[in-house]
Parts: sequence; C-alpha cells; structure tokens
Amino acid sequence: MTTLWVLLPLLAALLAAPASALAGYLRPSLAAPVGATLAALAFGASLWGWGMGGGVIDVAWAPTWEIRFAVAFDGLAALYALLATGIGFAVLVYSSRYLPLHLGHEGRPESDGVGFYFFILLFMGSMVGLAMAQDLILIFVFWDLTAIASYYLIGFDRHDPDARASALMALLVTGVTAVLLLIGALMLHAAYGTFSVPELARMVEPGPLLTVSGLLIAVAGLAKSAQAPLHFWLPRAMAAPTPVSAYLHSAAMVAAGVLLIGRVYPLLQKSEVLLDSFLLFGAASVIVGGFLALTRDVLKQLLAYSTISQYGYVVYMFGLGGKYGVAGASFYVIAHALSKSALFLTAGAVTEATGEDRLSRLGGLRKRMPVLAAASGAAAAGLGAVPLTIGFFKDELLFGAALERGPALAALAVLWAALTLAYIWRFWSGIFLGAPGEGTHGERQLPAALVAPVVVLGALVLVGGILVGPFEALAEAAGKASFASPTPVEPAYHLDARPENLMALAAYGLGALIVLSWPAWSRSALGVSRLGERVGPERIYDLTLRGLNRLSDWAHWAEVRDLRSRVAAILLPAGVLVGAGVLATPSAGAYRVGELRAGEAPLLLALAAAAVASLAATRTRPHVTLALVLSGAGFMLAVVYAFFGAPDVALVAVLVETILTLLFVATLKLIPYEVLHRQAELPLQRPRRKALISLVAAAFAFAVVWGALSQPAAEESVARKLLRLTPEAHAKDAVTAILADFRGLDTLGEITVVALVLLGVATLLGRGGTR
Amino acid sequence: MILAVSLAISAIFGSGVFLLLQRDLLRVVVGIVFVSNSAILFIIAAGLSRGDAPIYPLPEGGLLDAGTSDPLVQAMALTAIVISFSTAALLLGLVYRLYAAHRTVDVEDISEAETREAEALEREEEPEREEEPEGKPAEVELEEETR
Amino acid sequence: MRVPAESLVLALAVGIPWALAAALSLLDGRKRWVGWVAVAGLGATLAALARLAVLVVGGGRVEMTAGGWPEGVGITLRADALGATFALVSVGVIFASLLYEVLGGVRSRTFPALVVFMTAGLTGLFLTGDVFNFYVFFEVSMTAAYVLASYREQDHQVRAAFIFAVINLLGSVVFLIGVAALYHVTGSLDMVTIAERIDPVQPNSVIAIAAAIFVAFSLKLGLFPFHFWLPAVYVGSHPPVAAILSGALANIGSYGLLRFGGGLLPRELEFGSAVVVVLGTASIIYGALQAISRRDTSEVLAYSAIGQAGYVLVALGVGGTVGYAAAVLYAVVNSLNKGLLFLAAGLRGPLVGPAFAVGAFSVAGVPPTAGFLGKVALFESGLASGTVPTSVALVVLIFLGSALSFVYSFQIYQSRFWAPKPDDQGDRGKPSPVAPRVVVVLLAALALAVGLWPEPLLALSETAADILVGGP
Repeated sequence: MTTLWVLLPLLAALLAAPASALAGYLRPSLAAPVGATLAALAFGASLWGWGMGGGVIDVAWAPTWEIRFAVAFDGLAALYALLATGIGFAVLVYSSRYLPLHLGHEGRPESDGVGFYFFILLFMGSMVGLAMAQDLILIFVFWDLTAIASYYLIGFDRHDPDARASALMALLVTGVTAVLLLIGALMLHAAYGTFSVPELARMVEPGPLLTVSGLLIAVAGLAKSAQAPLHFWLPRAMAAPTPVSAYLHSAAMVAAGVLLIGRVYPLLQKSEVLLDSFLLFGAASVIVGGFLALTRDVLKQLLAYSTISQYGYVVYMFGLGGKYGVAGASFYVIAHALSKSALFLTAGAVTEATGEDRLSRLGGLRKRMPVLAAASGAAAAGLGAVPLTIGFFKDELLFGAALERGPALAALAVLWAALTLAYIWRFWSGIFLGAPGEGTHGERQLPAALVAPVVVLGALVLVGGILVGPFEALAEAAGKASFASPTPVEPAYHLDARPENLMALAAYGLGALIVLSWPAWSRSALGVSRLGERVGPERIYDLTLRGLNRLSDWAHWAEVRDLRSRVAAILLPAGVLVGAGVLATPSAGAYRVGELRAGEAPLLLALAAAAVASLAATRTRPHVTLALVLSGAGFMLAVVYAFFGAPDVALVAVLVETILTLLFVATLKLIPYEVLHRQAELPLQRPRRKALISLVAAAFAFAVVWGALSQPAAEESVARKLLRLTPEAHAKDAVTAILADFRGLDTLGEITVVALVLLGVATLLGRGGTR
Repeated sequence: MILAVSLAISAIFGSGVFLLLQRDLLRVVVGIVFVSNSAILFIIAAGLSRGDAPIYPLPEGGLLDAGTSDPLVQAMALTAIVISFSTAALLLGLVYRLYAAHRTVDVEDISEAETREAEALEREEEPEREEEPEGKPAEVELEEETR
Repeated sequence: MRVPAESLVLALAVGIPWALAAALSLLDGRKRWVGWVAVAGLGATLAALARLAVLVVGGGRVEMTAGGWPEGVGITLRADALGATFALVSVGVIFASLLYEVLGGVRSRTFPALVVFMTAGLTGLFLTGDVFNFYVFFEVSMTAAYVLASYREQDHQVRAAFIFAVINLLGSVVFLIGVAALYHVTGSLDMVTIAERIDPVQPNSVIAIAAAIFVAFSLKLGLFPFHFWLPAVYVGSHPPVAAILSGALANIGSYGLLRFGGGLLPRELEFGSAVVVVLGTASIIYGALQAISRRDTSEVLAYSAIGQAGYVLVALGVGGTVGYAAAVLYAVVNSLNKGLLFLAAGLRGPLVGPAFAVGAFSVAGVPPTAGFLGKVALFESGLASGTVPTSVALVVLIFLGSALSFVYSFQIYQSRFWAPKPDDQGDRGKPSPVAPRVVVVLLAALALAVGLWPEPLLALSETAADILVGGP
C-alpha cells in the first residue's frame, strides 16, 4: 500500500471532468481553467510517477468474476499518460479561446461549453486509465469510456445532421469492435482463468486460441486506430470542433488503439500470424491513408487521412517486431502526437482567422501569420522526418526495423516516407506559401491562445530533434513494457553512409518528385479516390445501415399487417413446440386409454354433452343464442364435476355460470342491436384456416392432457394428508378446509382478483361512459 | 375413460380457440371462457382419486384413494373458476369500453382504424429520420474539387 | 433455518403491499397523501425485500408455512436468492414508477391501488414455494396489469389492452394446465417435492408439460414468436405503466422460465436446450431488427425488450451455473434499463437526455453502465456452451445482436434528443416538472452504480444459479 501514489495521475485525470463540470455549473467560464489546471496537475503527477520508477496497484474489484482493479504505472502507461495529459493541457488552453468563438458562430450559449470540457476531460481521464490498466476487463471499461467521450465530442454540434451521422458512425465502428475486445478477453479468461495481462503473458502458449483471441483484440485496436478497412469513421469525425480533432488524432482515441496493441503485445508477439496481419493492415493503412491525404482539399480531411497513414506505420512497426519495431512504434507515437496536434491546431486557427477550410482557396498566409507559419512549419517538418526534428528519428527507427526484415520491406518504407513528405508539404505550402488564396481576405486577428499551443508543440518537435534523450528514454520504457525485455534503440545523427541515412535521402528525393509531378497525375488520383468512395468501406457502412433500416421497415410492416392481434400467431408455434417435444421423446407406454368402470356411463354422457355444447358454440351466429350455448356448456360441465365427486365445484360452477351468462346478456343489452346483428350476419372469414388452427391447438391440449392423465396418479400425495388433517381444521368438508385453512392464501389471492376486477370494471365503465 | 376425458378437454379447448380467432370481440370472450373451462375440467380430472365427495364422515377406509375424491383438485378448481369468471367479466368490461370508443365490436374494424392512425403518425414523423448518413459530404467535396 | 424473525421479514414483504392495496382501493389515489402512503408502503416492502436479499445472499433460504401447518399441507413461502433478486428488482422498478407518477401528479383514482396490488402479486409469486399459489399470485398481478394497460394515453388504443388480456389469459390457462398436470404426476404442489418426484415420470408426458409451461412463460416474457401483442401494448401506454409492464411484469416470464425450467424440470430443459437457444437467438435478432427503424421511442423500447428477452433465453438454454447466473443477471439489468428508459421517454427538459443516454448505453452494453455486466455474462455463457461450433455460432449471433442494439439505441437517442424538432419548438420550451426528472436521474445513477460496483449483483445472481443447479 506504500505505492498508493501510483493512483495520483489517474485520480487527477479522472477528477478533472467532474470538477470542471461542477465549476462550469457555477460559472461557465470557470470550466476551462479548472479543467486545464487539473490536466496540468495530472501531467505533473505523471512526470513525477515516471520519475519514481512506476508501481503497481492491484485490488479485487468483482471477485465473483475474478475481475481486478489492477493498474500499473509502467513505461507504456507513462508514455500515454504524459501524451494524454500534456497534449490535453495544450488543447484545453487552445479551446478556452477557440470554443467561445465556435459557440458564437453557432449561436449557442456559453454554458454549452461545459459539456465540451466535461467530455474532453473524461476523454483524458479514460486515456490515463486505459494506459495504466492491467486487467483486460478494466481495459475494456476505459476503452468504452473513450468511445463515449468521443461520441459526444464528435456529435458536439448536434443540430448539424452531418455531425450526428458522424458521431453515430464513430460510435458504431469503435463501440461494436470493442465488443470483439471483450470476446477476446473472455476467451483468454475461459482458458487461463485470469484477466490480468502480465499473468496471461506468462501463461499463454501459441496456438489457435491465442490467434483467434489475439486477432479479436487486435481488430478492436485497429478499428480504434482507424486502420484500413475500418478507417472511414476518422475523416468523418472531423465534424467535431477542431481542438477535439487535434486531441483525438494525437493523444486520445486513435492513440488508444495502438496503446492497446502495445499493452497486449507480450501476448500477441507469440503468434506469427498476428504479427503478419499487423504488417498487412499497417501497410494497407499507410497506402490508403497516404494516397487519400494527397487528394484531399479540406485541411482537416487531409490531416485525418494522414493520421490513418501514420498510425499505419505504427501498426506496421509492431508487425515488424524486434526491439526496433516495438520501441520504434512508441517513439513514432510521441513524434506523431506532437506534430499532428500542432498541425490540427494550425488548421483550426487558420480556419478561424479566414473562415476558409480548403487548401484550394488558401495560400500566402506566411506574411499575415509568421509565427504560426514557423511553428507549424516545424511541426510539418517533424512529420516529414526532416533532420533536426524529432521526426527524423522516427523514420530512422522505421528504416532500421524494416531493414531487419529484408530489402523489400525497406523499399516500401522509403516509398511511404516519401508519400508523407509529399502530402505534408502540400498541406503547409498550400496554406502559407504561394499567392494569397481567394478565401484569405478576412481580417480577423488570431488570439494568442490559439497560436501559443502551436508554438509550444512546434518547439518541442525541434527540441526533440536536438535533444532526443528524454523522448528516447520514454519510448524505450514503453517498448520494454510491450516487448517484455529492454529495447535500447539509440536514435542519433550519424554523418555517414549507413543504410538508414541513404534511405532517408532517397525518401526526400522521391518526395520531391511526387510533389513536382503532382499536377500531372492529380486528376487520375482523384478518379481513383472517387472509386474508393463508390465501393469503399464507408459506402458499405452506409448501405448496411440504410439496408437495415429498410429491412426493419419491411419486417415491421409485415408484422403489423399480418400478425399483430392474431391469436393464431401464438397458438401455432405453441402447438408445433409441444408436438415436436412429444415426437422427440420415446412414447412407448406413455399413453393409456383407461378402463371404463361400471356406472360411469352418465359421466361419459355428460362429458360428451359438454363437448358437443362447446362445439356447437362455434357454429352459433346470433349473440343471444351464443349466451345460451355458453351457459349450457357450463351447466353440462357442472354435471360432470358432480359425477367426479365434487359437489362443491359443481355448485359453484352453476352459480358462476349463471352470473356470467347474466353479465354477458347485460353487455349485449348495452350494445345496440344493429351492431350485434350486423356482426352476427358477417360470414365466417377463412373458416378452413381457423378450423385448422383450432385443430392444432386442440392437438396441443390433447397431447399435454392425455400424456399427463395417462400417468399413474402419484402414490404419495399431499391430498391424503389434507384429508386426514381436515378434522383438525374443524371442518367436515375437506374442500372447505383446504380453501379456508390449509390453502387460505390461495383463497385470499382469489378474492384479491375479484376485487381487482371490480376496481377495473368500475374504472373502465366510468371512463368509457364519459365519451 | 382417460381417453374420453382427454378428448372432451381438447374438444372444449379447440372450440374455445376457434372462437378466439373470430373477429367478433364477444365471441373472443366466449372463447376465453371455454378455454378456461377446459383447464378447470382438466384440474378436476387430474385428481389423484375419484369417488365420493370428500366430506366427513368418510366411507369405510375413507382416507384412501378408492372411496373418496381428491379434495385438493376441487379446491384448486374452485379457485380457478372464480378467477376465470372474474377475468371474463373484466374482458366484457373491456369489450364495452372498445365499443364505446369505436362503436363496433369487430376487431378487424378497430385494427384498421388504428393502423390508419399509426401510418399517419409515421408519415408525420418522417422528417425526424435523418439519422441515416447519406454519404453526401465526401462526394460533394470531390465534385467541387474537380471542378 | 426457520428463525421467526426471518420469517417475519418474509411475511412482511408479502403482506405489506397486500394490506396496503386493499386499503388504497377504497381511497382516491389522486389525493397527494394517498399517493405518498402508497410510496411509503412500497418503500417498506422494498426494505423488507432488501433485508431478505441480504439474508439469502450466502445461499440460505427463508421459509414459512402459512397457517402453521406442516410443510406441504399449508402453502410454503420460500425466499431464496433467485426469488429475492427478482422481487427486489421488480418492486424497485415499480417503486420508481409510482414515485414518478406521484411526483408528477396521479391522474387516475385507482392507479396507486392497482400498482400496489400488482406489487403484492409479484412479491407473492417470486417468494412462494407452491406452484398453484404461484398461479394465483400470477393472476393477481396479471389482472392488475390488464386494468393498468387499459389506461391509455389515447382512448382509442384500448384494443392493445384487450389483445394483451386475451393472449395472456390464454397463457395463464396453458400454465394452469401445466400446474394441474404436474400435480397429477407428482402428487404435490410444493416446488421442492415436485422437483424430487418428477424424475421417474415418463419423459414423453413431462416434455409436453414442460413445453406448455415454456409457452406460457414465453408469452409473458414477450419472446419471439409469442410477442406479437407486446409492442402495441407499450406504445401509447402511460410511461410509468410501460415501465412497470416491461421492467417488472415481464420478469414473471424470466423468473418462471428459470424456476420451472432450471429448478423443476432441468432434464426437460436440457433436452430442449437447442430449441430454447434457437428461439432465444431468433428473438434477439428479430427484436433488434424491428427496433431499428421505429420512430416512436416506446416502440423501439418494446422491440428492444423482445430482443433482450432473447438474451435471457439463450443464457437459460446454455444452462449450468454460468448460464443461469447470466440469465438472472441479464433479467435484472434489463429491468433496470427498461424502467429507466420508459420513464425517461415520457419526459422533456434538462437531465432527461443524459439519463436516457445512460439507459441507451446500458442497453448497448457499454461500460460503466450496468448493461455491460449483462453482456459480459452472456458472452461468457456463450463461450461455455458445449462444443466449439455451437459456441462460435452463439457468440457470433450475440455479437450481431449487440451490434444491432447499438444501432437502434443510438438512432432513437439521437433523433429524440439531438435532432432539432422543426415543428414543436414550443413543446421543447416547456420541460417536465423537476421531481420526476430527478427520479429518472437517480435511476440512471443506479444503473451506473451497479456497473461500477457489480459485486453485490454478481454474488446474488451466482447464488441464485447455484440454488437452481443444486435443486429448487
């Protein structure tokens, strides 16, 4: 318990959301500062926690299910907690200025911002929790918390149909795939009896179980990291306000996916199939994302596809494996987070200042916004892996890891690096260089709070390019947690002709080539991307959703038209069910005809009469006759009861039958004769079908009844006891004794039903009569 | 005897079901009464012994199966009779209420009226259903770009 | 085992609502104080039930025989973890619904009395150990439900109540036949004794009895293909009535299937498990599919209820401790969800949206809401079911159902609470009174609390399952 401080970052991060909401409830303008303060605190606590060397807390949470609240502050947790809280802080500062402007444009009150801060802080808290969680169920809980937070943030502009559809899409894609994570976790638990990741890592053996469960978990991670083919929700998520996008792409939602992969990597890396599938998905995402990023015109769209591609690298590096791959993946996440958040914030600032969000209508802003241009230039250079930025090392590690797996993969890596360079150049130069675009005539000034976070992040990108030590240490610590052994990678500048350097140079050259030749093939690239729109996964999603709605409409219509209020719809399956049961079990000796004792002829006769009377009712048309047949059938039954040695029942049956007939006739009297007559004159509809259904129902009853009666009466019986005890209840009639004493509770219930009916009829008629 | 009782029970049950399938609400009520009757008859028939009424003084060796009818099923049947009678009365009340609301005792007429109303309701609320993503934004963007 | 103080708690749990209902039926429920008396009485019942739950959570039983006769002669009331859990959650939902109605203003003279009558019937049937007594209590609560269901928002919708009554009466009759048949073959009405004596009986006739009982409870539960009456009843019902029907009354079905299937007729249940599972998955898919494109919130919820009932059935079909525990857990969580959602659907104004969202997330099984427990339990039972192919098929189907539940929950949530309403701006302007909204928020908080601290519920459902596996 001495390591309770491990909880400090988590507590600070989780408390931030409610604290900010509370402050915002008191005064809306307080929400942002309180949230930012707590984010800074959580960042500080995370730094401190990392400095203290980590620790573990493991307490029972739901012992019945062996779920534990197990959190650890290891390298991986430190990396993502620092990202979530650090970039979270920057984003909050940015939002404090951005959001009032945004709400102003939308004509919404300032108090609407409170929810925004709540969810973005919830996002941060759940990311920290996810980073620290060691129990698969706990991971699932935090995992879905991030989905909830992102759902509300993407749907923040809820009056906008596009925002709503995008939020739904993000929730469906990430929420439904999260279920796969759960299934994978439960499979592992079923096999190994624990949800704890470290324990599982020790116990799991390669095999089909690991492959399947690992794949399920990996799919959840890949969907969250927006990897092809489940990438389509991410560009749509741009419907969120810009700070959300910045956060979502760099340190939260999308990072959660690779965080999960990093967390369960000790398990996953035991299976070659899984590693190879990472290569596949990663490569597909790099290509799809990078290619589409080249073709986008809307700033945030371009960045969104860039994120898909960049996380493709990370996944790819996990697939490459080895110390370079694993530590490199972590390093890549850091470098990307710093650059990408800065670029998103840039995009938001530019749009805020000019009101324009398309590259084709922007340009030449370097003079108006020199600081922003420089800071975002640094960030872009970082993404493009230019020397003296942190990004250089991320590509160095990528190349190093790829080289370990042979020249083909290395060549691919070069191509992709070139692609990145090309689209990020397009982004930055399109905004800041060239002639002023037609959309840049606005004169709005940029508030400092919108620029400062970009400057800080851009500066960090440069610092990392010179002083790579702390970032390297963080990445190695995270790599160690994933790889389960130390991963020294030593990124550094080497002024020699080693393969990594040559590959970097090749990438720059190729990138320049793509940029220069772009005008020549932009049109065909657009054609290809449009083809992707037509047949791509997003289209499939749309069609599925719409198809489901249509199918649902159709099924509903069919049900309302044909089934609702049809008693037959219930009787038929019931009959079939009983029939199937009877047919499926051995029936030898199950049914007896039963002997006919002397003197039972009257009983038989009465039974026949009751049955015939009931059958007659089906052919009776006029209502009054029906009432007579009803009472006739009832009286016949009373006779039957008498012959069964049940005079009490017979008497009551006569009484009840009489009252019922009277009630029936009274109801007939309340309804005008014409209505009844018209009804009685109506021809029977589909009499054959109804008769058939009745036959099925009768067969159902027959099977149950005959089957039961054919059984010899139970030898031991409570009835005998009751009969013996009757004198003790001070009664002569055993039936009375049972009703009044032994089973008085039943009688009380019966009286209650009568009372209820009286109550009900009184209200029904009272209300019905008022019309 | 067993077969005869079973046949009688299922005949009553079947005719009750046949009435339940009619469009006339009053017939439906009669159907429910018949169906309940069949169950009560079955309860009585399910008695473990059959003979004289279980009233003291019992006949010779009366505690045993041969002489006396099972009192427990009779008590159950009585409870069931009263309950089914009450619920039938409630149904009659509902029928009257339906008649008061719709001026008919025909379930098809009533259901038609309600279906019409439900359809009107769905049409009215149609504009609310924009939740289906139309997949437009991205396409629109492309078209503008190529222009 | 039979300590008088414990029996007293049991007697109170059954007796309080009964006596209270009798008294209330004479009073005008529209008066404030009458409503509060009803609420207080239900609160006392709830407290007694909570005490009972604590008494039985370790696996014990509280028994008492009415009239002081020997067991078997008199009617035995018997509270175990299964019955107490269902009673607690059902009365909890009724309590919340009544509170909601009383705070918002009771509009009908007999509403409180009827609700308390239904509570009496429900506690009785969950806590009785006698099959015929079960039938009687069952009729008490159903009769109250028939009358409640005829309180429609609009007068012309009484047809749904009529169909509801007719079909459920049919179900009751089928159940009654089953009870009489059980008595004939075992010579007893006591559940424990029946379970002991049923084994040597010829399987052919028992399977027919089991099928009849299964049909009867499937009807109550609104399971595909016995559900056609259900959506019409919920649509247009007064919200608290819908909440009670779906959150409390439908529990009769789940409980009955568990008690009679798992406790009394386990052999037959095992024999028919394939059918049960198939019907369950059909229900899941069918209900969810129907729910997707419905515009009316209560209609979505009604179809969702059909789907959720399917989950209970699947868990039941899987059987064993894992399956039964999952069934209990799912039924409880579903009650809570449906109570919350139906009540929230009837309100407007601040805090309603978030409360509804908690319910929607719970239906979709997203943590930290209670619904996620149900989902975990269900997948666990799916994985535990026999052979690999059936496991895979089950898990895939449950997954599919869960995916569909995301779609319908959030489509309706968004169109209800996010999309701007073009026409009735005025309607949006007048939020419901604060007090009912607070009730709904408290229910939502409960759903969250159960999700965050699941242990009590898990322990209860596990104990309930153990009792079923070990005998009734």
